[in-house]
Amino acid sequence: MKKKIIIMFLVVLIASIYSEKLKVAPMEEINIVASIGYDINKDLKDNVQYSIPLSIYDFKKKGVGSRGITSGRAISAEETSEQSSSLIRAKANSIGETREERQLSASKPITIGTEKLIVISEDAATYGLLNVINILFANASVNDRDLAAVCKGKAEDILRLKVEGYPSSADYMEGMIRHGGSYNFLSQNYAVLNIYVALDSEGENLVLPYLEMKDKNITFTGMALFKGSKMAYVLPMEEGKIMNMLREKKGKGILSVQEGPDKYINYDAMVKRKVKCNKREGKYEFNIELDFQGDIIANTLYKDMKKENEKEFEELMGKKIEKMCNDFLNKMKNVYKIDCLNLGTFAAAKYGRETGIDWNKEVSDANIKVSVKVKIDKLGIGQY
Amino acid sequence: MEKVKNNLLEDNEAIAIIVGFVTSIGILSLPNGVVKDAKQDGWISVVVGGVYPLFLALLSIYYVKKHPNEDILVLSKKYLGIILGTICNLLFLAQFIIYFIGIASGMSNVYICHATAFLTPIKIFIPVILVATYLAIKGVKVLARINKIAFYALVMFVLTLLTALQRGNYLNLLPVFGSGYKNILKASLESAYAYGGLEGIFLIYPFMRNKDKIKTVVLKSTFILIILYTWTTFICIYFLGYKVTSKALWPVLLVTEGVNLPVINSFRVIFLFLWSFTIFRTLGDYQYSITYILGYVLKVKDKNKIYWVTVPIAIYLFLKIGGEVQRRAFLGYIIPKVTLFNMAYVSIIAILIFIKDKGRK
Repeated sequence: MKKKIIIMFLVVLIASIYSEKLKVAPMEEINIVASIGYDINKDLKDNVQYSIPLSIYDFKKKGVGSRGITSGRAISAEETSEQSSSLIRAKANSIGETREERQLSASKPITIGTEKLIVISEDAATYGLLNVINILFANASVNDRDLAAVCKGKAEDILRLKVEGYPSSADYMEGMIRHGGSYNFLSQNYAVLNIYVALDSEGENLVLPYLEMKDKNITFTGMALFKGSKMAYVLPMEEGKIMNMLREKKGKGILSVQEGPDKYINYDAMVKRKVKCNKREGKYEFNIELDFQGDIIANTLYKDMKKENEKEFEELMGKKIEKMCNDFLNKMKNVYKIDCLNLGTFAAAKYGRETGIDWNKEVSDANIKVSVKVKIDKLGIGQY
Repeated sequence: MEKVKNNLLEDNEAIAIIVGFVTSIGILSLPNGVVKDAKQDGWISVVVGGVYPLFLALLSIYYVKKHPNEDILVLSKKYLGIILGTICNLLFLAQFIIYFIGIASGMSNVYICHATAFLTPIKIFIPVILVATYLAIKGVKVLARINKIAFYALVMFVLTLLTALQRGNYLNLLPVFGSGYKNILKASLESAYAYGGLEGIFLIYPFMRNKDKIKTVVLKSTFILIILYTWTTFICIYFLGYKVTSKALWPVLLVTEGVNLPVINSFRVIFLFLWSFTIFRTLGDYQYSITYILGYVLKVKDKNKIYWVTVPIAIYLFLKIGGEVQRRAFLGYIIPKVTLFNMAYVSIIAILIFIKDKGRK
């Protein structure tokens, strides 16, 4: 009897602790975020106002849809609901304060974690990423695998753009970056997690996709190159492609040898990069080995691919790539003066970390040699 | 008679329970502690720090050889006298209480931050301590079986980190020994504290069935521990670099974000689910040991009565610790002292056993 009373007492005590209402809301009463943008407004006195637009999904029900629920008949998604997105903008003097500001113009609570990508405007990127990264890193509900990109103009405009067939422009941009890896030697790693790592690794410089709005369409026009946490240059895609080739461990892309408007060979290749670092008389030396392996996808240059022709092509292609790379390296050393290829990480790994060396300067003064190997794998089913 | 026999631990169960005493919150936060001094060589410090559990393991082998059926509580009374022995036993108890509080509050901090942000600490503590108490009431045999299940969960979640291998950068680990021997040794002290909890061996060994196999059991479990800790530290540095590792409070959870599985938005929650097995069984282990020591010191016959006192006190103490920064400050202050006491206590008794044994001959 005594035991039963004690147990009942305990049950009541514990239940009373749990009876307090939980801070949770049903799915329908939450704004689901498609994307986060970062804009910045500077005034004359170096003061900065952060403007953070959120792209939010709208789920609208069409008239037909309501019948489906009561009759229990399965109706495809297109019939019942329409997905689109809208924008909620908030401005404040610091990033955290924008949440407060945003809630004033939103009808539902906002939770993050579902966002597809993070768009940083060019101005905000030039101002510096540290504040943005700081708040993202601390927040456990941010998905660290979200992609990140820099955009021309304002993030707000690019997020507001409607893309045909997509619920929001963020979905379109996410697909573009995620599947970009098969060409242009683009890396697969443009996620927020990679930004955390890149900003904090010695000798590493961050590179992010650069998106542009052209004629109501979004295109991937180049690579945004950062120096520390601040964006320094935007490389156009032709240059960005060569940089990616030299920078990433692995990449895929198309290279070609052309002798006339109708005489060319297209080479769809995969490249693997190896770097060796040496130090001679206080000067660093880097040997970059590029190993190409790929298929010839179009050939109007040679009548048919014989063994000699193959060798000739491999030589020609190798020389062309070497020239491209050397041109880029010259520009990197003399114009950008930034270690775009992360060569500093190799030197730091070999000669010690935290010695106070400015790797951007060291690499700009260093001897960088590129050696290229080209190999043909397949020719397709034959030559027409 | 049959019942007593069934209550003894098999070798596997003994390994699981020894591993269970140590691996809990430390497996998530240890990389953060060691990289502060040892930088990219943090994983080497973890290996070096393995000297401490190895030392305890070797002493326990010696204990079992001399006194297979008497645990450390009995021995300390026998060799240090009743008064001094009881004081030492109480101090020995204090370290279990400190670990217990540290683990429980650390667990609630992880869960509130990463998974169940809508719960307040007390709502997490109540089911946790009830589960731990339930396990402890069931006795050492059930506890050992749970430990075995949790051991598989532990190995599984540690192995999922293998997938991060393809996305990291080996350059993050170079140059090896680049941070200097002094820093590596300094950080290895930090890692030695993470191995704390292995003292549970000295309570467990009388329950073992095959006491002649103590050597393999203890050494195996120690090496499993060293490998587990070294691997998690290694993968964190490999994947994130030492600077990011030192910034994240639980860097291992950041690595789990890198595990890319189709359909699943974030692997972190699954990882935390597997980890919850290990944390519950560790708390059960500690709850059992605390009651066991208290029951011995206070000479209580019905041990289940002790829980009526320990559970409310434990919940009160859990709530006192607070946030992760305060928790780490508290543990950082007290754990070195506890560890020092432990080493002294365990080795002094070993020396006394050695001296008295010689005298008898």
